[in-house]
Amino acid sequence: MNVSVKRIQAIFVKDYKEFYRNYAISTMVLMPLALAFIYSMTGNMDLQSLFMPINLTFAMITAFIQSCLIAEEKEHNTLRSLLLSPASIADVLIGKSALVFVITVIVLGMCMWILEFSPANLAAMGVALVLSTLFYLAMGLIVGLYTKTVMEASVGILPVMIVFSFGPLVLLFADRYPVLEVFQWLPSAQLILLEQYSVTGATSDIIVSLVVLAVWAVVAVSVSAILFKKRMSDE
Amino acid sequence: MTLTLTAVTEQNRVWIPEYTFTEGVTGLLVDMKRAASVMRQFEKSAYVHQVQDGHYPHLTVQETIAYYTKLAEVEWSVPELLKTFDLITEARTKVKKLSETKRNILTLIKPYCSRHDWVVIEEPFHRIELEGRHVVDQILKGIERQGKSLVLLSSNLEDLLPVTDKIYRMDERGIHKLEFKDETATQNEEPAQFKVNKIQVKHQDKTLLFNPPEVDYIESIDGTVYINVAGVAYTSPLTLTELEVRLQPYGFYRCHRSYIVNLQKVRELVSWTKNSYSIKLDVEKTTLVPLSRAKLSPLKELLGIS
Repeated sequence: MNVSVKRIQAIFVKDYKEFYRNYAISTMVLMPLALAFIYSMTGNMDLQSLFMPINLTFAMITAFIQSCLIAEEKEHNTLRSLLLSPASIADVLIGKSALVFVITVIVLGMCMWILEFSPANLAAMGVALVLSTLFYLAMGLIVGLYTKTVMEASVGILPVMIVFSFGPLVLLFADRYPVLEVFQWLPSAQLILLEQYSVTGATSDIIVSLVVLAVWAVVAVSVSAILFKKRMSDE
Repeated sequence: MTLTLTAVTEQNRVWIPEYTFTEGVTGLLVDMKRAASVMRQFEKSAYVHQVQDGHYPHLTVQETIAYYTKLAEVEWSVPELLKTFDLITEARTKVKKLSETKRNILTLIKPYCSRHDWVVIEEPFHRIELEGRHVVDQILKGIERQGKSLVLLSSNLEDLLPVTDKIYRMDERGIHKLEFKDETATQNEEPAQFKVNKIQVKHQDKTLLFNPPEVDYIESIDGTVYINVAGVAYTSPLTLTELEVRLQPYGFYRCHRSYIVNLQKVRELVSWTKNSYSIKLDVEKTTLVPLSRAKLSPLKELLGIS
């Protein structure tokens, strides 16, 4: 599979223009920022609520925009000709993912700035956020593969949002129902734990968290790659 | 360099025949269902442009053109392409705001920038108004000038005729080249004699005139002659014998004491027993016309069957 920087750039620019001119999608960016702003107004936050806007960004921005970019191609009947064009599948996916990655970094940065949140261990948190982004990019790709329009994609993203963004909230009930402990292995919960460990300086726990996140990312990326190949040969 | 179509059979009948296309611009007159199957085959070795292929609605025209040239990694100038596509005044218009003709013309940027040696275009003139047709023509010529070979699929002969004279028709009878006589040759033929030969019929006190090829068959019932045209029987003032003489040059045949049949419409000779025969006609409703035993062998001779 040949990869060309020029083609990736063309796809990146095209998707960027399509993204910001389509207000139904681009205004989504404001949601986590607004949430971050409201949280910062209330002040005096625990880690749970501090990470809420961040985990929401991953589902509502990273995964959602990624799925929309794929579903949009189908909605406008441009995907088939794009795959027949000189651009390889790798070009298309890297171009789209790069755009979503940049948007994610900007929104996360702004969220953290609004929340006045500075991670205790910047390097570990940076790696963790990048791994999470990869994971949610793959989730968005999977949702995009199975939806045909932006409308469907916005419904399809709901399960991702409920499970991964709101999953950590379930841990509040873990005292009463020990079964719910499994939710701490979610990538979103691991982010919170990682920050906790960083504050206390437990290096081995930090590494465990990063490994868990890496496993999620690798599994999601490979599953999405397999599904993508399968869908493309079906159609 | 050729493009090969492999045969597709469905229920023991050849649905798509095998064929090898040679370089140049080829028109293929084909129905929609076959066209879809042909395009699916070609997708492996050619760039296939379909009618429903769309656009990115939020990009402007020049952004769209720039995008496809960058994808193809060619250094063509955008203003030059805008001129070819007749979209100079719309350069900064968003694609979703273009008129349908202009938008359909713009979709041809994709086959224009494709890097395949073969380009297949479905209905190149689909929903393009009259004033846009020469632009499409120009674009197709441009694609040809790049050294690519084109296969144009259409269900409308008028859309293919202006572009190429290598036109094939694909249907249940297979794939055949359409032959066009030179118009200059036909003009040199002997001066046409005015010889109008219409078949006169009565219908509700009105007199109608039919062209002989329209007639399916003629029958005589109780002394009245009925002329059958497309499933409707009209009475005729002429007798069967008079009609037989007039219609013989048009390929009609007296197959029975009270029947004359248009041989162009014969589908099948049916033999019921050794001494009883019928002629099955290729008309909308299955129609059987009796055939006398004595008339069988002259008919076979006429039709050239043994």
